[in-house]
Amino acid sequence: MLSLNGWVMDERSYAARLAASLLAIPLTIQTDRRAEIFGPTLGDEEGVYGVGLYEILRHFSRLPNVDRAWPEGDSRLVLEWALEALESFAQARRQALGATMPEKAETDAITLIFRMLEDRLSKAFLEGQEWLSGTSVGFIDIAVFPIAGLARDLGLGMDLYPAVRRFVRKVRQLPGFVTMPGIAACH
Amino acid sequence: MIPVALSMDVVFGDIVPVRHEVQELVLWRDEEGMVHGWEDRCPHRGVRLSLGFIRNNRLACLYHGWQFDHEGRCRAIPSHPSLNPPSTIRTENFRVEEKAGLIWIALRNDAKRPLVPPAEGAWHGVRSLAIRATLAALREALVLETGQWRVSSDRLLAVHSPEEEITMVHMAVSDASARVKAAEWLLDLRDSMEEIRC
Repeated sequence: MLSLNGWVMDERSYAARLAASLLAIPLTIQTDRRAEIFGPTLGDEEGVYGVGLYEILRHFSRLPNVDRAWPEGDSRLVLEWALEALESFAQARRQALGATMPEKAETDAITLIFRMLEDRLSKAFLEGQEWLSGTSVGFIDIAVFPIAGLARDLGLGMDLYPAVRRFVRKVRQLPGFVTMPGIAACH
Repeated sequence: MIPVALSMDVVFGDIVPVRHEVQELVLWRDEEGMVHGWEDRCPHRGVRLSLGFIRNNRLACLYHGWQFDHEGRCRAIPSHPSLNPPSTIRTENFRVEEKAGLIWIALRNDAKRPLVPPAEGAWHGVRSLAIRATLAALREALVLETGQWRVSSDRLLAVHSPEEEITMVHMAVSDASARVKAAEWLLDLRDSMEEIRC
């Protein structure tokens, strides 16, 4: 069975757990604090398959029982944007949560990420595309979900991002949805 | 009345935070489809109700789980399950109307402002877009001298002001097939407004 070495507070480890759960991939979780810096690691008894969210999602997409296509062309660019955005968001979130005094966590770069996410989600919705990945939830949606779900940790006014709110609600309703600290289970 | 959201963005199960000037509000829709607009503050410990969740067709606060019904009355306190909460424990409610694909709210502090009736007709929501510009600048750009909304050809535009430097523009169209084009126009408006501001 595949094993994920991740850290419970790490956004990328959460995205890997969420992907496995939504795609019904059996996975054991090992707590590994190194994931906080280097990202999660996927492996099994035979060795390591990938370090970091990109490689893990790529490995998931190659599994025989996974029917989600790996993004190609323009969609690949969106996935790359999503992964970069997640890295920037994770950095800002950790700075905010680890600050000795409360500080304004929403930088211009974070605002830009949310605006782009809102624009992409709104465009997909108006074009009748249910998810960023297409007709079913896919790797792009999973990669951006921690950004949307943990936005409150950065004190963002979610009234400015209705499409992001709609997206969070839809993901939460999926069978196999899992949470992490910061994403309440009771909603 | 103040247009604060598109109807399509407040479905059952959604709990929507809204700000207008200094007022913080929460919108939610009950099982019967009615939208409620309250002050975004639990009367118990002051936590934002917009962080809460829906249980038993009531809005529950995330902190201690106090549940408030459609009238804003507290109906259940989980730590005292046998207690019938007194009727004095209630949220501060505002009058809400749903018209023209938008949700409009009457704030108590707008007594000086004429209560302009919301736009009528069948409209299809496009999107609500935050633009980094003052309400005055947006009013000028949209030729909106008074009130909170205007109809321009087949488009309904309505504005409110969550922050001093940010204005939300809500857009709806009469022809559903024109939504994508209308959304592009709205993005162009944002680009031009923010460029002017820079």
